[in-house]
Order: sequence, then structure tokens, then C-alpha cells
Amino acid sequence: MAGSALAQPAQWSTLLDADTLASILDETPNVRVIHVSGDAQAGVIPGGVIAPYSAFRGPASNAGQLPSLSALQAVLQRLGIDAQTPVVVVHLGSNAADFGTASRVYWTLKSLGVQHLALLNGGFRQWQAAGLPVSMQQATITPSTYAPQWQDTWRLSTAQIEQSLGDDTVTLVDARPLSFYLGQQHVAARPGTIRGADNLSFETWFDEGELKPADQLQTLFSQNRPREALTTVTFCNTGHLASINWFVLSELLEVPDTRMYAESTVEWAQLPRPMDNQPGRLAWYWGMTSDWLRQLAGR
Amino acid sequence: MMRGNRLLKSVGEAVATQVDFQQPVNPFVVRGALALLMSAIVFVTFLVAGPRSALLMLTGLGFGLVLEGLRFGFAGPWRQMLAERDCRGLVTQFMAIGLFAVVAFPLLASAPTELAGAHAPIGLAMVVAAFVFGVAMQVVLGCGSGVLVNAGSGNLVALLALPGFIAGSFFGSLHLQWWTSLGSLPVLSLQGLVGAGPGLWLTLLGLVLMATAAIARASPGKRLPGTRLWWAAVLIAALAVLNLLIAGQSWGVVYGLGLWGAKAAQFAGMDVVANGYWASDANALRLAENLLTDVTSLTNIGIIAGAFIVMQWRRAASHKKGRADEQVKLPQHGLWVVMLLAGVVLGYSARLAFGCNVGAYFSGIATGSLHGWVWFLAAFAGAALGIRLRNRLFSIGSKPASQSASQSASHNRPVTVSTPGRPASSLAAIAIVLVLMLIDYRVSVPVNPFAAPAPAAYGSGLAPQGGHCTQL
Repeated sequence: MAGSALAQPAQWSTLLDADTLASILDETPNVRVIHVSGDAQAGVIPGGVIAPYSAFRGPASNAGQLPSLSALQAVLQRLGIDAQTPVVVVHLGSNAADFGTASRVYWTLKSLGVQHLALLNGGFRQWQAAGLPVSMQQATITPSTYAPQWQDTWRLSTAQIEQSLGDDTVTLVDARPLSFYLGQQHVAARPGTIRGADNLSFETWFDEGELKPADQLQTLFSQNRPREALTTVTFCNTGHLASINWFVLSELLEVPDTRMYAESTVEWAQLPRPMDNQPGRLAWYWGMTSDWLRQLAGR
Repeated sequence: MMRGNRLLKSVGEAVATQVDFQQPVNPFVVRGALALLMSAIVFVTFLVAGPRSALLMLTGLGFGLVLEGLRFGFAGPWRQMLAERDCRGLVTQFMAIGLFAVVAFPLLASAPTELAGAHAPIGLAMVVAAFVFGVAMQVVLGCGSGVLVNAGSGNLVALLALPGFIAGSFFGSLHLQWWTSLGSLPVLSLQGLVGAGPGLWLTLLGLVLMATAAIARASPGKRLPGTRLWWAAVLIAALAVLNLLIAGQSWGVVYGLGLWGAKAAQFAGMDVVANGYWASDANALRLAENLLTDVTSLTNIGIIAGAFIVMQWRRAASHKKGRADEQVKLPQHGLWVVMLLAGVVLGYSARLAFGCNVGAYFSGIATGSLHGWVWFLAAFAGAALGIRLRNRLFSIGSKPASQSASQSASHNRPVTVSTPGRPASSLAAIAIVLVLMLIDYRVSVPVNPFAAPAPAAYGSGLAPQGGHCTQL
């Protein structure tokens, strides 16, 4: 066991189930469990701490934006994480979209050089359902002195996406539900999807709030496969749902050079950049008006 | 600006001669064309800026139709009260305000985030400015809405005052913060002081008391409004309610005019946003965005267009053409400049007074702002002085024999100033608006249709985002 700080713990994998995590925690003392979503009052996995998702996100106007490196460094140090710390990122597990809190933090930590990362399939809810112990007390942590560097290996910026439009070697994959892809729903300044993107909704991978078994994921991917290219870039509204696709493709299915466009359509649509499936002006205005009239009539 | 207007006027005249048919045209054709024009204005607004803008344009058109169609206004009735002891128009105004208040108070209380009253602070500069506005509105015989209505219907004085008003309210906005810093109370509203329910009763009581006082002072037979004015009061109040529901804020005029001035200044190369007033987020946003997304600009354009349509509608019946074409008479050339300058004073003072007769008096009182009451008292006092000033100005040229004994007779020679007719003047007013919209098209960002607000502010769950003359 000596020198285990440098090695990956036994039984470790990028996606853990509750029982496996419990046995890892029993055998390996230095694993850091961080809860990124859910209610602090509900308790934590013993030895775990709360690391709010917002600490890994941008401002409300552009939530997908990366926090500054110094801000991220402060968060990692406070959580006692360095490059060799095995980290399990735990989300609440209330639904499929909630998985994105964990996968976005996973992507962030990986880009900051943290070597051993894992997610808990089904989240804290799964842990509770398995009848495993819950602590009402967060662990006390000795801060680290880690000074991370950001690696762009798994990321593409807005400028890079702009350059890649029309480039056959890059495939853009919209991780949002079909209605967003088709421009029927929007939270960004403009509806529609980035020019040339394919749709592969994050919902594809889930059974309730849990990721499906690996062989099914592989089948689903071959059935819904986006255009093959050297680089695959996933995006959504704010780099939340996209991180789920990134996690599945890059970390589970090992699709080479899978990246995420963290700022996604919210930043993209702030300027009139090229988009597909954008409704016509008149159709859009008319849709608004008829929705409103229907609402008035319904009152 | 001056040269531009002269150019516009000559263009207007040229166009007017083209369309001023000598042959009688079937009035149904003309009126059909006017109805089509009105639909086209609303549709184009819808196409450019979406449903809320189209609804506000429609509301503005309604204001224009009612104000010009029923010959209802603010400056005229004040003059009638003060000069002729005829209180019918004034009482109509109180009725319209009261009717609007009866709906506005509960609406504002029921949707405090979505709807905003026309609340502004009482201050030193505000009171003086309201008084000055009262003077100027009698010189021009047109207030904030009056200048728009009269310009649209081809009144030459209003056509001169309109560019002045635009420039004046822009200049006022540049100095507003300084003037307000001279001394100002916090914003006082009846809702804040006594609550919405008692506030409404106090408002109605105040209006009844003023109406009673006016009726007591008026000559017999000039006391109670007739059917036409009753309709005017009801329709204006109804349109004001629509304005509040759709825009989320009360009917206003001055903000839009100041914004037009700011757009023109920006187009001319001035760094408008460097000014403290226009640097604020809300105002900078309005400055950057298309005029057809600005609440008060929309209703202002609608009012001008609506008045234009009523004037043309009347002219369509040829037997009335003579009466409909009657142009105001300026006894002297110099009065052209006076009217333009009076327009500047109107605009400047309205900006400092946190509104004109519409934003401060009508909307202010009806939504519980104490500044509305103070505005009314100060402006009404100013009007008494303004009436004398106008009489003096208009008598200099027209009554030379009695006054020119000690003055140069040649200087005061009675002149019949040849003036452009109503059709030409109204087209010139429309041209001013079109030129401003063209300027705006050049200086504003393209409309993002997907950022268009819900058709009505009421029920949208969002705070109103428009500019209003009562906001600092």
C-alpha cells in the first residue's frame, strides 16, 4: 500500500457504481470525494466534502465560460486536490441532466492535470439507495499547494470553432434535446444550432438518471453516430449537457480527439454567428404572438 | 438641423403638389388607402421588431386618432380655461386621468415587477422647468403630445416646434443630472406614502376637487363636457391602460424625443454615451437599439401618423377640405424662429421636469406620483403667463395701428406670411420622422428577433425595459 498516492487505486475506473466506490473508500484512505450538486443538509458520502458546481462555472450571463485559472487553483487547493489525488466527483443523481454537473467538473479537473478521476453512476441517490452509510459531517481537509496548468487538449474555443466551420476534419455535435437543435426552444440569444452541427442528445445514454451499461452505449453510438472526423466537438447551451457527451465519447467509448466547446451556444449566439435551424423572423414573431393569444384565451 | 428641415420642407411641398389632386378623388378610395397605410405601418413594425412593438405602434396610432379625431388635447383646454373661462376640456382631462387611475392603481399593485408607474422626484429644477414648460406650451399652443398631433396633422407651428422639441429634450438630458443635483426630494408616491387603496381615493378626491374648482370658476354654459369630450376621456384612458399593459410603463412622450435627438447627435459624430445620463446601462441600451424597440418612440411615431391619417381622412370629403386645410397664421416671419426656439424650451424643460403633460401630469397623477401634482400646479401657473406672451407675440404684427405710434411703422407693417399648407406641413413632419428612422438604422444594431419581448409586459413575469421621462 505504501506509495499509493502516485498510483491509481485498485478497482478504479472512470465510472463507478456505489458498491465499488464503497469498497475503494474502505481500502484507500486518500481518495477525495466531492459533492458538486444536491442539498448539503442531506449529508455526504463519509469522507466527502461539498464543492458547489458554481465554483466551476462562469457568470450567469455566460455560464459555460471557464473561471480564471487562479480561481480554479484556489478551489482545487481548498479541496486538497493535486495532480495525483484520486478524485470521485459525485452529483445528486436526480435526473440525467444532473449528471452534467459531475461530468463538467470531471472535464475541468482533467484539463487542470488531475490524473485519477471518476464519476459515480446514479450519483448520491444511488449511494443512498444501496443503503450505504451517509455522514452528516463533511470531512476536514488539509489544503494542497497544487499550481495547475490548464491544458486545451479537450477544449475548443469560440474562435477555433469559427475557424473550423466548413472544415471536414471537425464534427460538431449538439448535445441538447432535438427541440433545441431544431430551434424550437432556446435559452441563448438566438435559437438554432451552430452551422453544420449534428444532433446527439445527451438523453441517448440514460436509463432514468443512470448511464446505460458500456455495451449498450457502444451500440447506441454506432446507431446514432455523427459524421466521422479527426476531431469531434460537443456543445450545448453552456457546456453542461455537452460535458455528458464528452464524458461518454472521450472517457467511456474512447473516441479519439473528443473535445468540448465549453461556452457553447450561449456565447456563440451573442453575436450573429452562423447558425442552422434558425426560424424565420416572421414565423418566430407569429409563434410568439399565437402563444400569447392562446395563453390569453386560456386564462 | 435648420438646413435639413428647410430641405425637408421643400421636399414635402414638392410631394404635396404632386399628390394635391385638382380632380376630386373618390373619398372611399382615399380612406381605403389610409386604412391600408395604417395596417402597413403596424405590419412593418411587427416584421422589424415583433409583436410588442406592433401593439405599441397600434396604441400610438390610437392616441393620434383620438387626440386629432376628437380634437382633444392639453394646451388648448388650459387656454380655454384661463382665457375664456371654459373648463370643459380641463374637466375632460381630469376625467381621463381619473379613469386611468381607477385601473392603473390596482394593476400596478397586482403586478409590481411587470408594471412601473410614472414616478419621479419633486425638485427645485423640476418645479421651475414645469412652470417654463407651461409658458412655452401656451406660446406654441401645443404640449408634448400636442406638438406630435399638430405636426402630424400639418400645423405649421408644431412642425417648427417638433425639431426644437427633439433638440431641447436631448440637451435637457445632457444637463439633467446637474439640474437635479441642485436639490431634489426622494421619489414620493401615494402608494409608498399611504398605500394603493387610499392612494387611489386621494387621487380621485384631488381630481374631483380640482374639477369642482374649475367648474365654479367657469362661465355658465362652458362647464360640463359634451359627448365628444366624454368619448375622448374614455378612449384616452383606455389607450393609456393598454400602453401600461403592453409596455409595462405609463404613456410618455419626452423620453422618445430626447432619444431621437441623441441618435441624431450620435450620427453627427458626437460621443453621446460619454455623457453621464446616456452612459447608464438602460439609456445606453436604448441608444444602441433600434427605435422600433423603444416604447415611447413607438407611441410618438404612432401619434404623428395617426394625426396625419385623421387629417387626410377629413380632407377626403371634399366639401370639408377648406376647413380641414385651414393653416395657422403667423403674422410675422420672425415668429418662425420664435416657434422653433419655443420648441427647444418645451423639450428642455420637459426633460428637466421629468415629463410633459403626458409623462408627468397625465401618467404621473394617474399612477400616484406626487411630482405629477406639483407639475400640474407649476405648469398651469406658467400657462397663465404663456397665454399673455402668445397674445403679445401674435398682436405685434396684426395690430400695428394701436401699438406702432412710437415705433417704426415699416417694421410693424402687417404682413400676410405665405405659409405652406397643411398637406405639405404634415408630409414634412412625416419626413422628419422617416429621416430620423433612417439615421437610427445607420447608428443602431440590427434587431435580434429572438430577443423580442413577449407581446405584453403584463403577464410576462419580467420587468419593463423601456425608457421613460420619469427615470433619471
